[in-house]
Amino acid sequence: MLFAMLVLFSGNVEAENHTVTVTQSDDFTSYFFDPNVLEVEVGDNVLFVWGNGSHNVAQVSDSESNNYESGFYSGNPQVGGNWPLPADFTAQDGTLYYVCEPHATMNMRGSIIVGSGSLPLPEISMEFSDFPWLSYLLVFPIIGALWSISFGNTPNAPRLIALFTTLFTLIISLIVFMKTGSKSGYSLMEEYEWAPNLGISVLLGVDGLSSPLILLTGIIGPLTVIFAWEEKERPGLFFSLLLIMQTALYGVFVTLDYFVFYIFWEIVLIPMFFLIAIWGGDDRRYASIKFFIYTFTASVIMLVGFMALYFESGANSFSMIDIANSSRELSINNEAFSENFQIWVFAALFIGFAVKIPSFPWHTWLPDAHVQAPTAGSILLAGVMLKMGLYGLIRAALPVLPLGAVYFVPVMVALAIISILYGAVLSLGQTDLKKLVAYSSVSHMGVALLGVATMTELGLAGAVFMMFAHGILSPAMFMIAGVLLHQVGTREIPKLGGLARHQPKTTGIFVVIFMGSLGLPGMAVFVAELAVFIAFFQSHGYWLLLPIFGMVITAGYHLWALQRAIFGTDSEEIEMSKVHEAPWYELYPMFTIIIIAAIFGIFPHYLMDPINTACYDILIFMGVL
Amino acid sequence: MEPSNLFLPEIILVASIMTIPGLYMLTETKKSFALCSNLTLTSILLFLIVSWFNPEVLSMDREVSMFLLYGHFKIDIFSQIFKIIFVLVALTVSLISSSYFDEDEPHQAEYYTLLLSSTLGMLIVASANDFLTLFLGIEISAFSSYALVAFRKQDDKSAEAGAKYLLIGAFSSALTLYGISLLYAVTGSLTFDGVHAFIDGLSQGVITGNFNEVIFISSLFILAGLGFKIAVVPFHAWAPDVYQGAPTPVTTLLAAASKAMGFIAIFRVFSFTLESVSEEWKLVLGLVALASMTLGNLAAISQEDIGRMLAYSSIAQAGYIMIAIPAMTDDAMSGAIAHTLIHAFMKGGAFVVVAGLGAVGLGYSLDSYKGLAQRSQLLALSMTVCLLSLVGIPPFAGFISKFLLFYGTLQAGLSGETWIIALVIAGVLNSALSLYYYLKIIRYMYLYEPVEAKEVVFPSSIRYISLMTILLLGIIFPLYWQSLFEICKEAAIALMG
Repeated sequence: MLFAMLVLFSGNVEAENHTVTVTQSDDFTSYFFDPNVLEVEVGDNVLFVWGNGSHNVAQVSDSESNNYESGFYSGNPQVGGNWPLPADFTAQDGTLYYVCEPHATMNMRGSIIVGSGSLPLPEISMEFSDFPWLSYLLVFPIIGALWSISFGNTPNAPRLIALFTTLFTLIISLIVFMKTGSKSGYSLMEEYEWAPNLGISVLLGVDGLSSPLILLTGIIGPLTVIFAWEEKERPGLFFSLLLIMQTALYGVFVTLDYFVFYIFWEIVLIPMFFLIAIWGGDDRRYASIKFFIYTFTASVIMLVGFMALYFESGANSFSMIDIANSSRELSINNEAFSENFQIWVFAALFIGFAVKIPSFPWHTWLPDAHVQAPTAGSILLAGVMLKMGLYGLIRAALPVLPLGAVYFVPVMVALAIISILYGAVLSLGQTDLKKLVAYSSVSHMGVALLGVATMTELGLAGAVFMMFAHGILSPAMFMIAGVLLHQVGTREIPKLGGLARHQPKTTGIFVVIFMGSLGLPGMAVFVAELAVFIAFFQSHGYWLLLPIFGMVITAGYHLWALQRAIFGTDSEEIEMSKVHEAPWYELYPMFTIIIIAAIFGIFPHYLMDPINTACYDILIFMGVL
Repeated sequence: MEPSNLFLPEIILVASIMTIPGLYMLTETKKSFALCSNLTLTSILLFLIVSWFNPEVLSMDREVSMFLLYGHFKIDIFSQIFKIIFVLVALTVSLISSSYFDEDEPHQAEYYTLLLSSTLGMLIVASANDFLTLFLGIEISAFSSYALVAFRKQDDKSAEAGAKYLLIGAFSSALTLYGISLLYAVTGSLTFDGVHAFIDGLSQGVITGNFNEVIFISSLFILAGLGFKIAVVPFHAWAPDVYQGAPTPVTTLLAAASKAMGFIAIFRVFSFTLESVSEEWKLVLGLVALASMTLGNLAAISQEDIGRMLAYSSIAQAGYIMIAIPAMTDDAMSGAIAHTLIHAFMKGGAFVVVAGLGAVGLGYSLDSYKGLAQRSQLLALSMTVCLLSLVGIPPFAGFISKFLLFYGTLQAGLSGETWIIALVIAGVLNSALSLYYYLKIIRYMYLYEPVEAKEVVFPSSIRYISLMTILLLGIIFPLYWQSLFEICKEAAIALMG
């Protein structure tokens, strides 16, 4: 496109030549460029001509800064001669700031305004697919669910069907992830009309933000099924609920239409409610209803926000792309999407998302739901469902409401830091391992929220990476809790002890997973934490010490729990003769997770590349970068 | 065909109302009454559906309203769609009645006669084009349902409910009539068009005079009278007792059809006739809506009887629908129409399950729902779909109609009066609040063991109707909601002129 513009301009309009004199007054009292503000058309040529003194020309980022960073550079200070500005710097709209390095502090600076002076608005590229990959992702689990429930309570068929279905969707997820690659914009798009009068269509598409989460959902699927292999109670219903859940989660990640997004968002609740309520622990009835009401209340507020966006945009479309485009256009022209509006609507959406994240002070449903849920439910809840909140924040709120998002940065930072510290401190005090993992989720997702709140490319990318890394490792932590309950009979840390001697293989895996979860270099969580903390340091400086302190506590509660539960002397309260290694269907999923966490910990760029592209696009679109 | 053929459903009903007492004299078999009623309602339903899809058979046009009986009877898309709903509900009630009542239940001939005459009243209300016809239709329907509510006169609760319903109904009719008489005194007209034209002229200054107080008072009286019919706060107190005391098929009729009839009257009066003086009554209606949904939901939480709980939920639902009326736009009104229609399905579907449990003697307390899923997956699923629909959880039909309702209202609020936005937010928060008591039933059905181990077989009519409910609310409406939206929009335009 750039090239096309160049051809267009050079073909129709004669390129003009401009001269800027780089000089100083004879009495050394003033140093200046003449003219110091130059307005040129796109495609014009600029020639710098040296007058008195020794100077150079170096681009800086804005009218305040003094240091050459990157961009055009005429070389070391020189006396006399001239230097043409390379042509590609005037090839598109924008403002170029430059200084003379030796005299920058003496206010020897200038600027060139090319064309309109503002950067051209980037467009969202859309690529439709010939083959309906994404529909397959949505439809296959549903077929599997219906098939599995038709077998009722026969023990074998439902789990085989579920395994087959989830493996199949894993393959499709992998294909989707590969095909999306690190391209900019949406790919593999599909559109099906549903209610055109209201502007609602089933619009599917993936980009670098959603493809890692699709992969995550794909990976977690078969692992959940294998881990729940021996489910005895109503297996037909159990596995079909897992599969419906999978469809709904895929739906949240692939739709680009606010309305359909909301529908999938809510459908997620129904199977989860039944998973907790039927297969949960002793207090399951309370936990399931609290979970449902808490998240439903938040999301209806979010729905009002969506409708407000729809009406404000005036595009008669619920498509996220259309609304984002018109939001940007209207707010530039001051026609709609005023800052006030953006703040209110962002608040509505943020409440909806923050409950799902969950961020302090809306996290109280999580420990109840986690502790009561069956292990398979916890895996899906912690692994994928918690990611919906941040995904929604980045996908549905940031691009449309940049002013609102920037306004709420301090709030998000504060909530994130409180979540990190509070979650970590609460984890330290838990005796139930499952509760410990639940609170550690609050803490980890706080790190991800902190990454979003930095509003930088690295921070956002770190947040998305954290979503993936935590989505891989926290299910493993819940699996540990499940294994302990099955094989040892309790999850209470003080009652455990000395397990390492009796189940060396199993506890070996436990230790690696704990290390991964606390952020050991080489595992995926470390990459995410590092990225977020660097970004946060860049944007907020030494406030970083607070979340870093949270990380110290994190290491503390992980290691302390490990030491008490796995090592030490044999516990009096459990019969050690009955303790033996976990069965294959519990070990293999954990082992697989370790492998995956290590792959993405050692080669983060497989994931970072697409994420980076998507985050960069979003920030550029918001006008933050 | 002559336009008078449009009157065919009512004529068939009247004929059937006369036939059933005749059958009573001729035959001893009680099944014949149910059969006669089922046949009548099925044929009317078929007639209405055929004429819906082929309006040219009746030489009518969907776009154009037809007038019968010197303009007192109006056939338009708005009236037809509600007639279909009324007849469908009546047919459902008629079908479940035969399994609900024992073979030797006395007075079955009267029961089916009254059911049909109540339906007749509703059809008249749907087409009424002036205040008197409207009032007559309401009274025909109401008098029949007073007797239906007290049908089991040996049962104390049923008799008590009947007495309460009669007293309050009579009182509300008097209020409505007084409001109408005030309007007549001012405008000199009884037809909706006439009153509308007069008030329009008044607000545009064509007609001079200051009638604001009179119009305000008369609209208050009419609102109070019709408010009893749709059971909104503060005119709601009868509903829980009556819903609890009446035989469940009758409750189904009241909750699904009678309520919609009240809303038709409200729509015709406020959204069309008194539209140009909306400043007078807007705020009152908004407050009524707000109080209705909040109090309805709060009171429902602590109920132990399924009938009472659903009655309070009905009060809350009426509150949701009412928020669209002050918005005064086509979109909001089509949302209100959509929610009224879908409400008939979801409330009707819920009461069918209640009737099923009542018919097999499980009782009406919430405890009797414990372990329903083990007794019948189908009934439990149907109840779940209806309840989740009532909350407004996607993808069920209730979500879609509620979305249309809030969508239209919010649009009106954003483009004009900001206080309406507060109504929408209150509605949304109330939906979340209502989740608690609906979920309670769902939990009881799936998570608890039955209180008494009793083998039951549910009547097949109840099971088939439950299956239909699931299909309609869970699959058909969500898939084809564009059509639903279009129909309701057309109806709203037909209504508001």
